[in-house]
Amino acid sequence: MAVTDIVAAPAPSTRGTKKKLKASPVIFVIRKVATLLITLFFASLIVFFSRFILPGDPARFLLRGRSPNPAALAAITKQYGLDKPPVEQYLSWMGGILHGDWGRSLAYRQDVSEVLLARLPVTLELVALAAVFITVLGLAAGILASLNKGGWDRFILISVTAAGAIPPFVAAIALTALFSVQLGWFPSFGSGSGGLDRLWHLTLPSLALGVTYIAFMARVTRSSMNEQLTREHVEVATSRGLKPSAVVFRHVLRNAMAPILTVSGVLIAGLLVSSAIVEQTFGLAGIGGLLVQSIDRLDFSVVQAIVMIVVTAFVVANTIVDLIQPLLDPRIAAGTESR
Amino acid sequence: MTLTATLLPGLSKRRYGSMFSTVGWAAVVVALTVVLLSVLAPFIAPYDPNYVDLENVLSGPSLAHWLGTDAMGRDLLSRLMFGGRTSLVGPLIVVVASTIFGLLLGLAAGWSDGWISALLSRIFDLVFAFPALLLSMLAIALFGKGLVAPIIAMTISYIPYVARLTQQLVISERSRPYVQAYRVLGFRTSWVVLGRVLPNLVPTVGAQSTLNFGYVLADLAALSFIGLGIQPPTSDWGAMIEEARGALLSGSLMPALLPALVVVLIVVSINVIGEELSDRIGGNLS
Amino acid sequence: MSKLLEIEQFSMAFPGRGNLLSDVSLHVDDGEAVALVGESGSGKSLTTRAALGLFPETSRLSGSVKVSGLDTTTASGTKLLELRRNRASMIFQDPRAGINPVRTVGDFVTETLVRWRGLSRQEAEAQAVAQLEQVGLRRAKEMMRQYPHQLSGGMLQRVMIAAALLDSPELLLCDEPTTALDVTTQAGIVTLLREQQQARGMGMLFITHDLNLAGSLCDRVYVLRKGEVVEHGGSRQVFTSPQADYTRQLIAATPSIDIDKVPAVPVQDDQSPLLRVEGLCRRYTLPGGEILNALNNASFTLAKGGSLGVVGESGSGKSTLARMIVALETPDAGELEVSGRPRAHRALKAGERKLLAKDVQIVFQDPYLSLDPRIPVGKAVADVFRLHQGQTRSAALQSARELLDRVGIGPERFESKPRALSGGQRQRVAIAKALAARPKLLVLDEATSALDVSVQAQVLELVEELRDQLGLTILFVTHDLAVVSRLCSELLVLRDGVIVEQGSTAQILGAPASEYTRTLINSRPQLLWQDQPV
Repeated sequence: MAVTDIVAAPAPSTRGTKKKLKASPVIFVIRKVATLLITLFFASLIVFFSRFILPGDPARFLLRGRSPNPAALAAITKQYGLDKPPVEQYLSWMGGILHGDWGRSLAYRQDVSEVLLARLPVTLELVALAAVFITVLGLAAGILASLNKGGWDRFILISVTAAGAIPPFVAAIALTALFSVQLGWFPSFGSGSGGLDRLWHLTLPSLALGVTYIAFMARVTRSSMNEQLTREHVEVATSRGLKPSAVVFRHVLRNAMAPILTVSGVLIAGLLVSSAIVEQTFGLAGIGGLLVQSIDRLDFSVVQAIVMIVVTAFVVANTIVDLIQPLLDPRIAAGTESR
Repeated sequence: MTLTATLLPGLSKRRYGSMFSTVGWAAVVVALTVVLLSVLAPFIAPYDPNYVDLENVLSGPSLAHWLGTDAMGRDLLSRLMFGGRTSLVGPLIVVVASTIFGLLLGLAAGWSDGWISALLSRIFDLVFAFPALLLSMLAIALFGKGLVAPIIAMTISYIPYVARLTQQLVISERSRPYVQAYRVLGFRTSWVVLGRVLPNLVPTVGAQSTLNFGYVLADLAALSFIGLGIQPPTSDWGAMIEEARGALLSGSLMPALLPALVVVLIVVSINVIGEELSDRIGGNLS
Repeated sequence: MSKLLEIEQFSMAFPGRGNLLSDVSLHVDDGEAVALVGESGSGKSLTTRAALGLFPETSRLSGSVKVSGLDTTTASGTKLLELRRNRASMIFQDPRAGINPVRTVGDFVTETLVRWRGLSRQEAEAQAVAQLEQVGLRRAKEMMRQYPHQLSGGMLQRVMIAAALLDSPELLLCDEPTTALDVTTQAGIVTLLREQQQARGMGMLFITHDLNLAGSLCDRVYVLRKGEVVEHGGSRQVFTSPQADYTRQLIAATPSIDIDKVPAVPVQDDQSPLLRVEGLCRRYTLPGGEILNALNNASFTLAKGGSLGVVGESGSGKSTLARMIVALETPDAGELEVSGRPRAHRALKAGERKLLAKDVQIVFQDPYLSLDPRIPVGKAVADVFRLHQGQTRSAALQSARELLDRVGIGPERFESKPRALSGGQRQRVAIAKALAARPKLLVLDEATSALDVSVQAQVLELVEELRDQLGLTILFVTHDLAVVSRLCSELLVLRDGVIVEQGSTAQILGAPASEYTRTLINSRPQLLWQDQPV
């Protein structure tokens, strides 16, 4: 066996020998939050200035598909301050967002914030229900596969490979065909009227939304657990006479959580984006469906707002994951183990 | 080092030296069949995909129409074959372009020190914050419906995936003794990076790109499905499903389920191929 | 005396891979320390794990493995749990991998006490602290709340031992418990194990690849090779009159310090030294912001044709020194001259690198990572000939063939990828690659420490031959005094980045001036029947 220096010659890294701040929890959190804000700032630049890569009169762009009479053009120019320098436009847009003024929707002739607020609950419920399915079914399938080598593992692996290849819109069609059209158990359209009816209406959409991610979660759980199962500390725990169940819970599952958590952050963004397709398919009045309709109706300020919301949700979710990570693995906080 | 870890490679199910498992070969056959049928569609398709035959609406499989017809009496098999041309070419462009740019940017980010590397990493992070489908929708909102805008947007979205992977591989590779030995031996950096390190990364990156193909295909089909992608009369699998929804709700399953099945089949095959490739690479390098 | 562990005719096979263990028979009596010695692939780990009923999946077993009469090959799950909890404990090779990194040290040590001994958390902690202190850990109370990554390897191994002892086992299984540790740390752990084993009257099965270590700790020895016991007997008898050829080879290959065999310092002529180092420093900033002086104010010279051994434990700065000499690291301060050319305090340009390459080359530790996995070995060596000797493709291939043949890689291996070669063969190829640049100075950075002893001996012999025939100057970086004592006429001892002693090997080994060097020498395993340190 090899004699390998554990504290191998001080990291032969030729990169990044710059001075780093002392690792402390407060600094760690501050740095993560600062990164979050910087990312959001640049993301907002992209979202806002994307309009400027189009040549021509911005007022005409915003009024696409509508009557571009001089009065309307003048009105929109004034409303958006299109005659002002771009930086000033950005600042007033950003300032508006921070004060809850998201501009006006051309299609709905309402404030964007009102349109969004009315739609938000359905999307959140849809995503939450899908998240429940993903967590319960995905984790269960992954754990089951990892702990039962042989028949079960193979069966789950095959199912998961198949399920992982079903895009949400295909799942939506297939579930509608089976459970709405053939069996008539669930509705195929609409978001119902609150309470249990809402749940009933959201079951198929959330399954359609979740199926890929259930498979993804199962896969990550399985491989993360399998990776831990080969670790020496698991063998040590077994050698000390711990019951298999204790070994699995205290040492395998516990250590496997970190990678599972990491993918959860990415997953939330995926859910929000895919909800656009599922809401559109099932005729749900959520912000995803709104995004698709707004693109269709050339209602650009609504599109900008929704894109910004989804990006923010994604970045915030990932920051939260980064902040929880050190609680799961103390080595991350110490900076000795990078993810 | 534990026993299970040391013993696993030799005990894995796949026979040594074989490229794929049985399932893997099946996936290759399915993928190749779908690709060939699509490519050769103009020569072998039994009908014009847009030929409307209102006397033969929603007919089941028959000798004349092997897979039946849709609500406008169009031959489903022909439409599937022609639809494949649009459905496959988009992902192909995205994957090829994002792999090339991703590899180059990843090499630059992984090999350089200081601000270039830091700047590139920040840019990757920023682009990551825009999921591919979302960026595509923003692009469509700006440039209008069709496949051009989403294809460009998806390419941009997938570049950081490839680049980040490449960057990580390069960083781990450049600290390996064999790369350091090249440096000590006096070989030029460009020769080492492009001639020696890059070829060692290509298999892993290729496996990732194969997987990306499946994701992009699904996303582009989804865009067509919600009416933002390909516009009539051209059609792809996603648009076919959308066109067949009315028929589906009235009980005719085939026109919607057939393209859905093809999408799933091709994505499964691609995923299986991609995973077996990366497993094989993982097994070989360790 | 009863037989505590009795393994009889034990075989283990895997489908498609044949027997990994065949007809292994061994026994450990009450209170007896027994060693199981073997190189990698001998099956020694499999044998020990069998005593706890830890069998790899899909293995086929025959024969019996009895611990206090309980046959682990057939025992039920509950019986095995009982055995692992009360009768036998195991200490593993790498404590850093063996203790769950995301749980506290206290959690690890008290885990068994709380879970089935029915102790309350406070009682368990009190017991654990007492045990940690007994194995020589100070500040045990604070340590209970720390995480494994905050402790050193040696401390962690003591934690592991304390945890094993808490279950008051009758049988202690040790799987290379000191291999991952420094020599001085190893000495402490070995003493601790010996004390505890004798004080508690435990039976101990000690697995190691190091014959000397076995002889320093155990009364009896089993020698295992490719899953078969080739020799067993009293330690002294096996050492002094080995019966099996393999044991004889093993003993011959095991490096030892023999002052009479130390090469003499070559006569120095007046010409300037090949390598001159003056006040050399290298600092790193650690992730926490601390500054680590990896190498501090090092000065020495190495004459052309000389051989210098750089000895130190982990963190001593020996690898940093080697990497600076070949320009993989840039010095922060001080002078470094190779062939009279001073080194710039910045990363070298391509041209400078190529020029330096003709002066100095390096061979790394890990034979599995130091060759490009995709390039056939012949081409790898030929590439160097083309670069440095300006040879044509075919001439370079011919030169590569000759050189590889010279280092013991026959033409049948010429087209092989590194994957198809053994560790020793890869290291030979790495040496050939380095030599193809025709350097004057060859730096060996722990170049043999990842190899089995018998393979190590062959590679060392090769280096010795090459040094003599090619007039190479050698700088050998290692943790193992014995390895350099045969090869190097001069010695330099490093500790925490500082040179504590330098001079001729014979003089340093015979009469070490510094306390640390003495500790280093005395930390080498002392055979039980030898009173005097060498």
